Amino acid sequence: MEAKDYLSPDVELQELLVKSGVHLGAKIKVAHMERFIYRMRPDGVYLFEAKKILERLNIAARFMALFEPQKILVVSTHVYGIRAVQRFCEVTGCIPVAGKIPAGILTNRTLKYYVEPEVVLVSDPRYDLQAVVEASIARKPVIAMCSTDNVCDDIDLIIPMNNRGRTSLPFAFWYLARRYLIERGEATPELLSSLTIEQFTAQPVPGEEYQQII
Amino acid sequence: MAVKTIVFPRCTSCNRPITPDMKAVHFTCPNCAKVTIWRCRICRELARLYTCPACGFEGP
Ligand SMILES: [Zn+2]
Ligand SMILES: [Zn+2]
Repeated sequence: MEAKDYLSPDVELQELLVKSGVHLGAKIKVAHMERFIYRMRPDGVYLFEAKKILERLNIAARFMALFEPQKILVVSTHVYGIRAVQRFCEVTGCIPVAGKIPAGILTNRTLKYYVEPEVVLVSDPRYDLQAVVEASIARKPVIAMCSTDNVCDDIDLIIPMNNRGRTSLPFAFWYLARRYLIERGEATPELLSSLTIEQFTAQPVPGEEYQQII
Repeated sequence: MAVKTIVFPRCTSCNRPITPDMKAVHFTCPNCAKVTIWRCRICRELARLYTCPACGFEGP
């Protein structure tokens, strides 16, 4: 069945998405992700469909909007996702875990940093495996951004996209933040216009150089 | 003595009853938010597809 009418994404947004490289996959594909793949580029890189990515991002934002922001855990251990997660949580009020995931954050009640979220969002099920496993023990649903080579066990909602790019992760979190605020009814035109992708992008620290993975 | 029956929720993918000791997950449908979707441990591990009975959304 088709999604609702207001989900039909406009062309400008799709162009921005393609420019940010969100539609790029990896050179490996797994069976779980096969149904999201649009085609293969001549150099062997699999591609996602821009329309489908936006549709899934909208669905994920709508699902997250069912919960209070204090009940959402957002996890990213990826270099380019850390700044994006921090900014996302500043804007929306969710619980950030950027960088190292503390062991037992969802399972050990005696710890100071123990949290009890209703839903967990991870940027890569392979890097953030700790969060996925703990969410499975705590019986919480997991939303995950998956590339073409991610195995999707213990995931309840997949966002098919490039989850390793310098520009693609900031784009995804920027778009999710916007949609989340709109779905929650907290968005004002000033707030939406003040959000830019640059705020979500990792700034290089002097003396330290980031490596581009894709 | 009156006979008491317990109705367990059923997994949306495989339709097996879910007992409390299973590591199952339940959440409302991400697309329409009308139906509660249950996924048993095995279906989650194998990433089996689930279909929302109300709106036809196919996940994960
Ligand atoms: Zn099942
Ligand atoms: Zn539904």
